[in-house]
Amino acid sequence: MHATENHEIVHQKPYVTASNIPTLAKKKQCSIKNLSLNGLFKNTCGRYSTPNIWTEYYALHEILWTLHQSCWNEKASVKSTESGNHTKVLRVAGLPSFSVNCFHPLVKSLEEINYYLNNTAPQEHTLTYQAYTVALRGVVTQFNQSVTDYEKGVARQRATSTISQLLLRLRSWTFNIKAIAAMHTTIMQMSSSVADNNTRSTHLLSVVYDSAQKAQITNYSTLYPVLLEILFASLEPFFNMVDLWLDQGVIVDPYQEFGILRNEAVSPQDERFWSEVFVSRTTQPLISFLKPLMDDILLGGRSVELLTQLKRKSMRVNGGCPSGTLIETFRHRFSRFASNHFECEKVFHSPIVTVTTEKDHKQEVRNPLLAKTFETLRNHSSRSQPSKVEGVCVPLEFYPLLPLLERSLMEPLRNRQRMVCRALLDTLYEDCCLKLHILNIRRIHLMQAGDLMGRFCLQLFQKLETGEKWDNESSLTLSLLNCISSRMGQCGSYLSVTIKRGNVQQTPANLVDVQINYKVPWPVNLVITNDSIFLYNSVLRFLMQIKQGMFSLQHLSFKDLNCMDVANVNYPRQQELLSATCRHRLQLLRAWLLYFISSVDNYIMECVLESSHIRLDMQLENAVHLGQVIDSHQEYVTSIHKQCLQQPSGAFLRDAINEVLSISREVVIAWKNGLELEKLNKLEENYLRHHQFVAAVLGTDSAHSMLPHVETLAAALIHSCPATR
Amino acid sequence: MPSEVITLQLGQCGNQIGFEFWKKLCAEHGISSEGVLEDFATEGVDRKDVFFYQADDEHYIPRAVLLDLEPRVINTIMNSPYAKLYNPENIYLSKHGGGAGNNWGSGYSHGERLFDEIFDIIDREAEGSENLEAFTVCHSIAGGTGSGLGSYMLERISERYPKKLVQTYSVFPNLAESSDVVVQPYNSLLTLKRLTLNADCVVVLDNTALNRIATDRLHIETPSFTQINSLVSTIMSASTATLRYPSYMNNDLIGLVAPLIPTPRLHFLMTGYTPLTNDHEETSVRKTTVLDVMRRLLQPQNMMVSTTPDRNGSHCYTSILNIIQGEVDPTQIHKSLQRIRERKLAQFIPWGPASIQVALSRKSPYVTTSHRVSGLMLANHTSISTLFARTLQQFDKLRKREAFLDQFRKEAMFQDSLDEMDDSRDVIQNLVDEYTAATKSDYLSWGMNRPGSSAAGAQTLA
Repeated sequence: MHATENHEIVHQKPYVTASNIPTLAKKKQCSIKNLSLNGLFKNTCGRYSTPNIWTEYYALHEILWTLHQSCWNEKASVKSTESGNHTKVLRVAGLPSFSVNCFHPLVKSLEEINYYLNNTAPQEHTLTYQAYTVALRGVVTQFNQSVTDYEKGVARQRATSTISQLLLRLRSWTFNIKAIAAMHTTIMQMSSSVADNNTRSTHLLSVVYDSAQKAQITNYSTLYPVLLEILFASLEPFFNMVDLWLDQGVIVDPYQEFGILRNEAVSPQDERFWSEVFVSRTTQPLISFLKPLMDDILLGGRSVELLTQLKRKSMRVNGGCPSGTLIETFRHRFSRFASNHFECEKVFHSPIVTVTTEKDHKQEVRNPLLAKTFETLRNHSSRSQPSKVEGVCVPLEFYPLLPLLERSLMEPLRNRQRMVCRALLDTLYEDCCLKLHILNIRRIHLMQAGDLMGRFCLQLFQKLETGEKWDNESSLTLSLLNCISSRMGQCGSYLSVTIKRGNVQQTPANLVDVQINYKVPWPVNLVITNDSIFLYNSVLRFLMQIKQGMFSLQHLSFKDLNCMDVANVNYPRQQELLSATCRHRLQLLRAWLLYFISSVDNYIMECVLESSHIRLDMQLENAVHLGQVIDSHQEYVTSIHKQCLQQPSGAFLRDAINEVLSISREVVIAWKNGLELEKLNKLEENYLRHHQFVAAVLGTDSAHSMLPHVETLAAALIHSCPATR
Repeated sequence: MPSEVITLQLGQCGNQIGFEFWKKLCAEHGISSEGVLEDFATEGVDRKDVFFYQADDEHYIPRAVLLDLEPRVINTIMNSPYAKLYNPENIYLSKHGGGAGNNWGSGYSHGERLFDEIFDIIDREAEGSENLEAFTVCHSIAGGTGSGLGSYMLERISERYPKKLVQTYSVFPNLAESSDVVVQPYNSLLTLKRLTLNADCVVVLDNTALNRIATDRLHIETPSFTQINSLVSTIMSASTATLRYPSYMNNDLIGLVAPLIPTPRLHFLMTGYTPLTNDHEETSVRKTTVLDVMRRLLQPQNMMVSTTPDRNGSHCYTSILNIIQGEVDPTQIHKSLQRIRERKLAQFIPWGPASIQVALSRKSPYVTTSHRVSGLMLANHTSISTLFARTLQQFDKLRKREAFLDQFRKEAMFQDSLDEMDDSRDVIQNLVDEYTAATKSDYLSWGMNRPGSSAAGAQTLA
C-alpha cells in the first residue's frame, strides 16, 4: 500500500530496524528528548513538513519511541500544538481508528506520574511516600518494558505490526495508567493540603487500598494486581516499623508518620504505664483492614516496651525471632491464600473432576434452571484464570480483598504480638513473681493463710479484749511478720501495718483503722495497684471484724460462764434456777451467734473468696497479655469488694451483720461479767430481728442478682431461723 | 506460729491406737519410722509442727506422751521400726509393771502416786510448745489404766491447764460380747463422769460399732485389734487433717469443736467415715462426689457408735461437722448442703441452729487413695445417750448386787464409801436426761421443773 497524500500511511514492507530509530529521529532534526506525538504531527502536517511517504511501520515506531520516552520524561508529552488543537486526526486510508486522542490520555497520565516521580526530592517524602514512589516507578518501568518488548517484536518484522494492534495491546495499560494517575492525583491533593505526615501516609494508604478494592470489582484482571502491588509496597514501611517495634522495642519513625507515639509523660514506674504509655498521634482513621489489628500492634508494642524497661529482649526470652520480616510473611501468605484458593478451584475444575461433575450434572441435576446456574458458574470460573504479577497471586474476583488481607496479616502479626506478650507474661510470672505477689496478698489480706493470719488476729483480738495497748504500728508489724514467718518469711519486706484513724486522732483506734500495707514492687504494681490494695484492705477489715466475732465466741469456755445477775429474785432456789436458765439461754444465744457468724464467714471465705480465687487463677493461666491480667485482677478485686458488702449497695446488709457482731461482743462481755435478765432478753430480741432481716433480704431475687452464690448463705439462715425453730 | 496439740496415750488401748495414729501421721507427712523426712516429701504444704517438733538434727519427734502401767504394748512399740520415732523421755512405764489390773481405782491411785513424774513429762512438753492449743487423750474407758489413770489425768489437766482444750478419743467397750473385764461397767461409768465433767470434747469410738463396720463394711470375719485400730487411726487422722493441712478456714481445734458443742455437757461426738477401704481386700472403686460422701456419712451404718434404734424417732442431731478431704469445688459443698436440707436427710434439735459445718481439707500427697473424695463426720447426736444408758443399765445390774467391788474398796477413793460410784451414776444419769431433754423444744427450760420458773423470761430464741 502506498501513501498518496502527505498524511497517508502506506502499508509496505518496513525497511527500518529498531536500531534505526534514533537515526530516524535525527534525520528529522528532532532531539530524542523532544520527540513527541505532537512533534511527529507537526513535522508531518505542519508547514515545515517534508512530503515524505509515511509508512505505518514508521508511524508505529515513532509512537513506540514516544511512549518509551514518556516513561522517563515528563516533558515528552503532548502539549498544545501551534494551532492549539492537538486532536487532529490522521486521515489515513484504512486506519479510521487511529487518532491522536488514542494515545493522548495515556501520555498525559504518564506525564503526570513522571512529573511527580522526577520533581519530588526523596527527602520531602515520608517513608510511605518513598515506597509508593518506588512502586509507581515500577509500574512505569513495567509499562516501558512492555513497550520495548513490543517494539522488539515490531523490529524483527516477523509478523505484521499495526497501530491498531498496538492500540489493542495498550488498551489495558492505558486504562491502568489512567486509573493510577487519577488515584495519584487524589493522593497529591490531600498531600499538599496536610502537613501532618501520619495523616498523609494514612491517607495515601487509604486511597490506594480503596482504589484496589474498587479495581477488584471493576477491573479485576488488569488494574487490580497493579494496585495491589502498589498497596503492598506502600505498606512496607509501616510493616517494617511494626516489625522492628515488636522485635526490638524501637519505633524508627524519622518522618513522624507512624500512628503511635510514646507518651513521655508516663514513666515506667507509673501505674498508668500499661494503659497510657502509647498514644495515638492523630485521630485519623486507619485503613479498614488494619483497624482490627491495631489493638494487637499496640498490645505487642506495650509489651515490648515493658520488656525493654525490664532490660529484657523479647526474642531472646523466646529463643528466636519469627522467620522472615513481617512484610515478607504477609506477601507470602497473601500469595499462598490466593494460590490455595485457586488450587481449590483448579481441583474443582480439573478435567477428571470436571468430567465427573458434568456427568453428575447430567445425571443428577435434572432441574434445568439449576443446571444452567452450574453451567454459568463453571464458565465464569474458567474465565477467571489466575495471573501472577510480581509474586502476587491474585485470587478470584469474588473473594473479598478485606478478609484476604486480614487473614494474610493477622497470623504473622498476632504471632509476633503473642510472642512478645507471652515473653512479658513469662518474665512477670517467673522473674517478677507476679503470681506470688497476688498469692501473698490473698494469703494476708484475704486471710487465705488461715492459720497464720488466725494467729495474728487472735493476738490482736486478745489485746483488744483485755484493753491492752495494741495500736503501736511497729509492734503490729512485728507481730504480723512473726506470725507469718513460718511459711511466708520471704514476703516480710513488703509488709507493714499502719493505723489510719482518719481525722479524729483522739478517739481510740479500732479494728476498722488497721491497714496492712503491701509494698508492691515494679512492675507488679501495674497489676496490683494502690487502689486495689485499698480495696483489699477494706475486705481485710471486714473479715477481721467477722473473725473477731467468731474467735471470741469460739474461745468462750463454759468454765468461765459467770452467774447471771438475778439479785432481784427473792428466793434462793428461784435464784439458782433462774441463774441456770439464764446461763442456758446465754449458751444458746452464743450457739446462734456462732452459727450466724460462721455462716457469713463460710460464705465469704468459700463462696466469695475461694471461688473468686479459682476463677482468677484460671484467668491468669489463660491470659495471653498483660492487659488481660490487669483487667482480670481488677475485676477480681472489685468483685470480692462488692460481694463482701463493701460497696454502698450492700451497706444495709453489712450494717445488719455488724449489728450481730456487736451483739456477739456484748455476749462475750456478759459471759465473763454476767448480765441482767432484761439485757439478755434485749440481746435475744435484737439477734432475732437481725437474723430475720438478713435472712429475708438474702432470700430476695435482688440479693441473688447482686451477690452471686449468696443463696447458700440465704439458705443457711432461712433454714435455721430462730423464730421458726 | 502453729497451734500445737499434745497427745497423751494411756494404757494398752490408748497406746495401741496412738501407735496406729502416729504411723498414719508419719505416712501422711512423709516422715520415716525414724522421724526423718523422706526424700520424696518435698511439697511442704502441710503443717507438721502441730503434732511433731524437730530435734536438733531436724528429725521429727511426736508431741506424744506414752503412759502405761504395764509394759507389754509399749515394749511392742519400742521393738517396732517406730522405736526411734518417740522421745524416750516421754515414755513412762510404771516401775512395778503390774498394771492396774483392769481396775479403775487402781489406775486412778497410780495416777495420784505418779503425779509428779507424769506431769514432769507433760509440763516439759507443754513448755516446749510455742502455742499449745489442746491435749488429746487416747484411752479406753473399760480397762484399768486408760480409764483410771485417764480419769485422773483428765481431772489434773483441766485444773492445771484450764485454758487448754481437752479432747479425748475414748474407746467404749464392745457391749455385744461378754468381756473378760467383769468390772467394765464400773470402770466405764467412773470414767464417763470425768469425761463429762473434765473434758471439753469426747470423740466416742465404740468397739461394738467398729467391729460391726469391720465385719459388715470391710468384710473381715474376725477383725483383729490392728484392723480395728487402723479404723480408729483413720478417724483420728481425718479429724485432725484441717489442722495439719492449713487452709483458709478451720485451722484450729477450737474452731472445729466450738460450733459442735452448744452446751457444756453435750460434748460427746460420734463419728462416721466414708469410703472405708480394707488394705487386704480389693474393693471396687466407687464414684465419690461430695453429695455422695455427705449423704453416706448420714447413714447410720457408717456411724462408729452403736446406738439403740430410736423407735420414737425423737433423737436428732445437735450439730454436724463434715471434714471433706480431696479436690473439691466449694460450690459443690453448698449444693450438697442445700440438697440435704431440702430432703431433710438430717433431723436437728428444735431449739437451736441446724448447724452442718463443712471443713475442706487437702489429702496427703504421699498417700495414694483410690477415691477422689473422702469424708469424716463428727456429729453431736442425742442418740449417743443410749450408749450411756446401756452403761448405766450394766452398772446398775452389778451395783445392785454389789458385785466385784472388793478390788475397788482396796483403793483409797473407795475405802470409806462407794459414794463416788453413786455420784458418777448421778452425773451420767443427768447426762442421759439432758440428751433426752435436748430432743425437745423446751430444752431451754430443762432443769426448771419447779413452780415459779416462768420468771426466766421471754426465751425469744427457743
